Amino acid sequence: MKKLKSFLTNPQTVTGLVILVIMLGLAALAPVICPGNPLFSVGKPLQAPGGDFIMGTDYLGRDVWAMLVWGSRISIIFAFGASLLSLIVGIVLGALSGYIGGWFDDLMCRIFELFYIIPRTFLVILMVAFFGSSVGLMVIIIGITIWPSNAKIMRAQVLTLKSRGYVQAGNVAGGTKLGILFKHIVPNGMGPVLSNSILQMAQAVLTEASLSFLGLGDPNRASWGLILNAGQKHINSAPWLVIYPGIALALLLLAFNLIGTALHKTLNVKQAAME
Amino acid sequence: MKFGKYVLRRLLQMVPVILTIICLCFLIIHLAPGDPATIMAGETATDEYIAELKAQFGLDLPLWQQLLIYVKNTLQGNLGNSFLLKLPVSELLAEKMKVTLALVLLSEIIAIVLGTLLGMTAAKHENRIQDHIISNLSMVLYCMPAFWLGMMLMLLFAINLKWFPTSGMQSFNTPLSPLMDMLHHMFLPCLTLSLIRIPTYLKLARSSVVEVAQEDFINTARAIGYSERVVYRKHALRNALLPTVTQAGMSLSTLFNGALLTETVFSWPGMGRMVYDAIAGRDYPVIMGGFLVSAIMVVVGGFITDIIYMYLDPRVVAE
Repeated sequence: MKKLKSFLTNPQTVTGLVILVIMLGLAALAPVICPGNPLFSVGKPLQAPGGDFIMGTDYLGRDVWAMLVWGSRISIIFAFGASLLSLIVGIVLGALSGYIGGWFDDLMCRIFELFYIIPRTFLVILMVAFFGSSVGLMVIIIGITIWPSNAKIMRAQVLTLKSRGYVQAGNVAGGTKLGILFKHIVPNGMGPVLSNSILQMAQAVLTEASLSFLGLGDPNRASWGLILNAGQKHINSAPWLVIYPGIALALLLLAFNLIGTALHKTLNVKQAAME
Repeated sequence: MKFGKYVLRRLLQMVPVILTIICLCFLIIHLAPGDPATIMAGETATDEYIAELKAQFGLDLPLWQQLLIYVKNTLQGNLGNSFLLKLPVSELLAEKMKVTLALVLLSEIIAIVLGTLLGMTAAKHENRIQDHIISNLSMVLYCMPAFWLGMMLMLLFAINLKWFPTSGMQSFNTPLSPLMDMLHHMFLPCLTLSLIRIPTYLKLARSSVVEVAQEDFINTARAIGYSERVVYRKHALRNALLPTVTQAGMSLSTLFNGALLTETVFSWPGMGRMVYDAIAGRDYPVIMGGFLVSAIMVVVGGFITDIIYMYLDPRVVAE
């Protein structure tokens, strides 16, 4: 409890949570704040910020503020979707790997190593280019490329917890192996995996933004990367197109990193698999 | 002799990893929707070219034979042809890789030096104002998307102040020598990549110096009467550098990711920019080749790091 209080009152966490709540608010209230499709042209192209459009318009006369508000939805979907997928896959495979051991563990460890080596953004780009860029598919692709660090942490947790007294007691009491693993060991080893998951949210958001920036995003959904992609071509004449969505992106990444690092410190986790 | 054995063992360990990466590429090509021949040849390819590819990669044979042929072709450097540029991918990559490596390695060296120095400064003043300033700035930089930082630097230094060119690697009609001209173009992309890599090394140096500073041999050195400068430079830094070397070796994959985006922003004519153009034109062999080559370079980079590490810390060989 004391730990929880120190985590929640720490200035880093507070800053992170405030930013995150604002972003969640924007995402949830997008239809109220900016009604209508943000991808429709509503004004003259490349209008500077001010007047009707507080963040100006892009080359098609679309309201940058509206795209930014709606774009927060995409970022939030990726943050939670991809990290949740990674969390589930990571926990299950990591726990089994640590508990079963043997050839399965060897195989898993090789896979962790492989994922550590492969340029991840590159792999995601490759898969999106080959398989398509709908939001659902991209969430899955990002999720399945980031799970190994969760699994690695969970595996280490299971290895240390396996020999604890209460686990032995469960064994003696005649619990099934899987029951003990997922009812007793995994819940007790969740802390570091959760803090890693928050850091992974930042990774997922950044990967999505990078993909959209490179022109691999879903062109039918407003996202920050999409505005940046268009903005890059007009950086000389319309710098507002790259300034605002970039600030939003950096703030959201900062929020996840602040909360994740603070949780890391509270739980006293050694820097495990940040990359 | 022991060293030789260690090097050989590490070399052999690379083989299955590289084979797995090649198999992964094969898997992606065959799982992707669409005919592998069309993926490799492009939608506008002539029937003749598709037939030639089918023969070359044995695309009518059973899958396992195709895999063997694919692995063999890849190991021989046959990565197919770019259908936008009509050139072999391997030739293109060999040329572009040099340009990328020049940018990436220079940036990484700058990041290592500055990051380590700043990290040491922060550690020396642990939990004091200097440390807070450095650590918070580092956090902000860490969260900065590379491509956005690049665009902001471009906006400020190239568009508003006009100190540096916005894109490319060379310009016509310049009074500068070719090398100076290239460095002039390289400045902003290099600054971008260095800035986003500094936090990694800073954090590492800070935490290892803080840790080492509590060790007995540091106290001993102080007791002997060495100045703080000597204690930190000679004793703390040396021990703190080991994790930095490991990190540098593992960073190549992060570097290629960063280069892809930074090169795109600054039109730096390296591999990243080429892959970006390939994405726009759905030039699959180039994207695939870029991925394969960078993944393999990462494996080789890891090998080189291990060899360097071995010289720094000979205990590794004994284990």
